[in-house]
Formats: sequence, structure tokens, C-alpha cells
Amino acid sequence: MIPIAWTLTLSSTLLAVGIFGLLAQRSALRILVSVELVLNAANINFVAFANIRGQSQGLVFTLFVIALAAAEAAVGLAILLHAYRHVRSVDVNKMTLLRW
Amino acid sequence: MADLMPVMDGMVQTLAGSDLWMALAIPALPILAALVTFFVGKRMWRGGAALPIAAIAGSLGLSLVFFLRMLNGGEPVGWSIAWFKVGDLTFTVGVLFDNLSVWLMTLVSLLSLLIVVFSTAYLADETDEHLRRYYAVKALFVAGMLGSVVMDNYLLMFIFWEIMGLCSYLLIGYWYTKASAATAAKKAFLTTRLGDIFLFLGIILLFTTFKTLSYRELFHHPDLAAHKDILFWAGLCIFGGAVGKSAQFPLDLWLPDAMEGPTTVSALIHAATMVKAGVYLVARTFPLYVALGLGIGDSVFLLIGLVGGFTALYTATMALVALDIKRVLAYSTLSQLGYMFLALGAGGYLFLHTGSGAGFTAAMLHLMNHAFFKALLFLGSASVILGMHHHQDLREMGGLRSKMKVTYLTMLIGSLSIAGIIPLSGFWSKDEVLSTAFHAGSLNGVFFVLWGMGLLTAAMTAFYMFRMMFLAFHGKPRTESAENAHESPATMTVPLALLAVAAAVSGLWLVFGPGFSGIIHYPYSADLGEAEFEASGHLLMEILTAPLTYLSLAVALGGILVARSKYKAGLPASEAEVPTRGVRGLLYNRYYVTQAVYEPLGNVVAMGVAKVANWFDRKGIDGAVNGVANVADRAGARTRRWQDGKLTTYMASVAVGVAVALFLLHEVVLRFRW
Repeated sequence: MIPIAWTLTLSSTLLAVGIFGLLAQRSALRILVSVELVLNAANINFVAFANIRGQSQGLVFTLFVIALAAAEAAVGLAILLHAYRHVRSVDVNKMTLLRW
Repeated sequence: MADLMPVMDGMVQTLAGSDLWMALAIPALPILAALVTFFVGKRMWRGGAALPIAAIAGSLGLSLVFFLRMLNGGEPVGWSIAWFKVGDLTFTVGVLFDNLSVWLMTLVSLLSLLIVVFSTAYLADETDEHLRRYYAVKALFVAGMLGSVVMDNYLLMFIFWEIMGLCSYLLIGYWYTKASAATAAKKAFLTTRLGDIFLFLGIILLFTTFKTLSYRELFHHPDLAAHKDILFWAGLCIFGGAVGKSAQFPLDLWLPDAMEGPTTVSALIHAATMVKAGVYLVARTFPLYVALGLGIGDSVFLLIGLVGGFTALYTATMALVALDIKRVLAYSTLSQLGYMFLALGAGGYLFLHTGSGAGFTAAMLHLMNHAFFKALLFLGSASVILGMHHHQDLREMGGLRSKMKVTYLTMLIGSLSIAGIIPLSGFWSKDEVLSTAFHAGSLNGVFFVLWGMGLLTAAMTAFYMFRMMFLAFHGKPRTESAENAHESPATMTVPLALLAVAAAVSGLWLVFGPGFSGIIHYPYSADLGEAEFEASGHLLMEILTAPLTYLSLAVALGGILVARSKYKAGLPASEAEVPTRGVRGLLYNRYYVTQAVYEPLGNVVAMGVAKVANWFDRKGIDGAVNGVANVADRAGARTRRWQDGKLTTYMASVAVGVAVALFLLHEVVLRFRW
């Protein structure tokens, strides 16, 4: 049995990497990937705690999150594709029309 | 003194049945005529002149019914119902037909009828669209006056009083495209409004203290003696309303400017309505002043007499040099109104001290006589102005006597009457006014001074009236329009002739038959004291044997003779120009009161207040509103920089926000063990 602390360390690391990616990356694709990292960090926690407590809710939740992530990625990529047609770039710092 | 209460409740018969409808129709007919004329007059003959004429004639006919009943010794009648209630206070609506109101409404409707008939010819050149407005407002004006006279409480009187104020504004500004007319209308409205504020204050004071505004209840209210302080202020305020409406000093400036309206409007304002309402108001309120009793009441009467006496002299001097025929008459109206207030003041003073009601009668008689001769003179001047093709400067006239015979003769009668030549009407009433002031003088020396001023005014009156007559009708024509002047049509000369007869004989009522003082007197209760009123024959003897009578006659004749010697030959060279300097300039410019008092008052005080109010409105009110908006605007301008459209910035905010939220949650959970 892997100690819970290891699992949590892994998920925290994934979360940190994901957030770093969200904040630091300029490519929209990389940002989408970072979002996946953040989501999967949460998934790991769900699975780990479900395992410890011997309950299945966490596992079910994980399945939901994976489905959600797939949908989110599809919508996100579609938006990105559209945005690319306008600005000819996937650099999010160039997509600044919605501002003051 | 027990029987001196005016119009006790028990003595007023209640109006019922057809009498009630007749009574209510008197003010209602002109109101209806005004409404109909206003809406459909354009499609009627001469803008709907016929309808107001018919309505006023109807009012006159109904008034005459009541008038004849009164002459035959009929009791006062009244009618009153609850109008609306506020809490436990009830406002009533009702009419009171006592001798004073019946007599005055008859006078008002008679004069108004003649004036409106006269207008159909005088304003024949106007378009129907404008005439519609003229006749509608004219009818409403008459309704306003009739209403203020017949209503039985101060509130309704005030409503009709204000209707009159509105109508005076509309009629003085009849030629509203003329700047001077528009200004004069505004001036008349605002000046009388100043008086009305006082009147309304007085009415509020009376109502809050005595819980009623009905004359019948108020005048013998059991608490009158207990609230003399309130009564004093209310009385003064009501007098203030009269001062504004009757254009007494210091609210006298609007009336001469009111000449900007058509002359027939001036005739209505000066003779039958408006300015007479102020005199009526004081006469109506007489019981309240009397109720103040010796010590307070007589000082109020002294004030009334002072204002009247001073205005009489002060405005008569202005008439001495006036060059506009209407202006001479306007100043003379002010001066004659001053006589009426002098008579009321001196008469009230006398009444409180000796119980003699002669002054009240004198004021009312002068009101009636003045109404006749001033209507005559104004309509006469309208006839002159029409004959002169709308020139009204005396310098441009001359020699009209042979061209306008009827106008000349009727105006001569009017002038002799106002000058106070026996046996024309002005003589009797002016003599009574002066003798009242003289008798009051033996009680208080101030009235001697006022009597002297009155006498001087009488001399001036005779002088300026005959100056006007000589300049207009005698000598040689001085301009082409005077050369080509023509007599006015019968629609104008017939009313003139009727008025001339009235102006000649109305004063005789005092001394013949049952006598004027037997009908219009104070106290106007039905129950007269035996010795209270002198028999008319006795009064005639008294007048004819009093040295004062001959003094005032001599003074009047002197005035006429001086005018004759000065103006018989025509316009003196010294008066060919508008006077600007010296005494004549002073008088012509009304003592520079406008320039010296009202303009600084307006420019400094009123402008100052207006500027402060303006500043407060802009900086205070608007400042607060704009300030709040500015704070939001600035705050928005600063914070919106955060919304730079960059995804990473938003991400960072979310991350920081979540971190802070988690930290707080952690702290709270740890600290309180939730």
C-alpha cells in the first residue's frame, strides 16, 4: 500500500505544475494541457481518498471529471481554433480584445 | 354694543329652492360662458362676444332681483354646505347675500356688462382667434369678482380672488407679443401675488386659531377676544392682501403699467373688479378689526388710514404731469382708492371710539361712485384713443371737442364728478370721506394731517382731470390724427351715456329716498340701532351747512380754474417734452421709486438670494449627485486597468483568490474547530 502522503505529494506537484503552466504559458494549447494537469491532480486525490475510505463515490467522481475534461478540451480547442482564425496565433497574450 | 354684531347666524335666512339656484347662477353663468367661449368662441360672432354678454346680463338680472328685495327690506340670505373634511376640520362652501355683497355684485355685473358691450366696438379690428381669448378671460374675470363678493368664507373668496389675479395677468398681457405688455402683465401678477401671500397667511392664521373661515361664524366667534394677538397679525396680513390687490403704497407700481392692456381691460380692472376687491376685502373684514377693540383695533385702522391717505396724495402728484391719457386715469384710480382706504381707516377709528358708522358708508359710496365715473372716464379715453387711431399721448391731441361731442360731454361729466363738483356723484362721497377723516382728527391728530392730505389731493384731482380734459378736447388739434379724429359708433357712445347718467346721479343716493347709509353701513346687521344712522334728509342739510363742504368745493373749483388758466390755450411749451429734470421729472418718474428702491431691491437682494440659491443648487445639490458619480467613475477608471484582456492576468487573480480563500478557510476552521 502506497502511503497517502506520497499520493498527495504527487497530486500537489501535478497541481503546482498545472497552475504554473496556466500562469506562465503563452500558448493556448499548453494552457489547455495545464488545465488537464490541474484536473488530474484532483482526480488522483479523489482516487486516493476513495481507496483509503473504501467508498466508491470518489471513483465515480473521477469518471465524471474525466468526461468533463474531455468535453472541456473539445470546447476549448474549438474556441481556440476559431480564435486562431482571427489573430493567426495561439498566443493568449495577443487575444486581448475583451478588455477595458 | 350688543346688537352691533354683523350678520348673526340666526338672522341669515337659508336660501332654498329656486332662490338658491338663482343665487348660485350669478357667479356660475360667467364661468360657463368663459368655458364655452374659450373652446368654441372662434366659430362665433366676434370671437364669441355674445355669450359673455348674455351671461353677464343674466348675472345682472339675477343680482337685480336680490337687489330689489334688499331695497324692500329683505333679510340677508345665505347658503352653506360642507365641502370636504380633513380630520375634524370642515371646509364649507357657501354664499352670503347680505346688503354689502348684493349691492356690490349688482354694481359689478352692471359695469362689466357695459364694458363688455363697449369692447365689441372697441376691439372690432382684432381677429376672432384673439377675441375668443379676450372674451373668455373677461367673463372669467367678472366671475372671479362676483365669486369673491358673494362667497361666504375666506377660502372660497381667496380662490376667486386668485382667479381674478390670473385673469388680470392674461388681460394686461393681451397683446402678449408686445414686450412691454408681457412685462406689465408679469409685474401685475407678481406684485399682487406678494400681497396674496400675506392674505393667505392671514387666512391660515384665522383658520388654525378659530377652525372656521366662514364670515358668519368667524365674526362672532366666542374666542375672538381671547386671541387678539393672532387676530391682530391676521388682520394686518389680510390688509396686506388688500394693499396688493388695490395697488396701495408700497405695492402701487403695477397698476400704472397695467395700462398696456386694451383700454376696456383697464376700465374693468379700475372700475368694477380687481382693485375694488381689496377695498371690499377690508370692508368685509371690518368686524375682525373692530373685534380687536380699542388699543389695538384703532391702531390698525390708523395704519389703514395712513396707507390710504398717503397713497391718495402720493399718486395724485404723479398724475399732475402724466402725458398718457390712460396714465392720468390710472394714477387717479390709485389716488381714489387711497380715499376709500382713508375712509375705512378713519371710519373704523371713529366707530371704535364713538360708534359712528359713517366712514364705512363713505368708503362704500366712494367705491360705487368711483366705479361709475372711472368706468366712464376709461371708456371715454378708449373712445378718444380709437378716434385718434390709437394715439394716446395727450400732446398729440387737442381740439377733439367738436369732433367727438358725445365723448367730450360724457367725459366732462365724469371729470366734474371725480373733481367733486356738486351735485355730481364724486362730490357726495369725497365730502363724506373728508368729513370722516376730519372728525377722526378730533380723536387723533394724525387724521387731521390725513384730512389735509385728502384736501390737497382733491385740489390736485380737479387740476389733473381738467388738465387732461383741456389738453385732449380744447385748443387746436396738434397732430394729423387729432385733426382727423372721429366720433365712435353707438355701441360705444350708448354705454358712455348710460355711465354718464350713473356717474352724475349715483351720489344722490346718499341724500335722497331711504339713503345709502340706511342700506350699506357698519354694522350691517338687520337690527339697526335707532340713532345709529341719520335720516337722509338730515344728512343733506348737514352736508350743505358744513363749512368743510364749501372748503372742498372751493378747492376743487380752484384746481379746475388753475388747469383752465394753464391749459386753455393748448399745450404749454414747457410740457412739450418728456420731463426728465426737476420736480416734474421727479413726479413723471414716480419719485424714482423704481430706480431708487425696487431696482436695487431686485438687483441686490433678490439677485443675491437667487445667486445663493443658484450656487447651492449647482454646488450643493448637483455637487452631491455629481460627486457620487465621480467617485464611482474614478474608481472604475482605476480598477478597470485590471481587466486587461490577458488570460494570464485573470488566471493569476483566480489563483490568488483561491489561495486567499483557502487560507482564510483554513484559519477559520483551525481556530474555531468547525
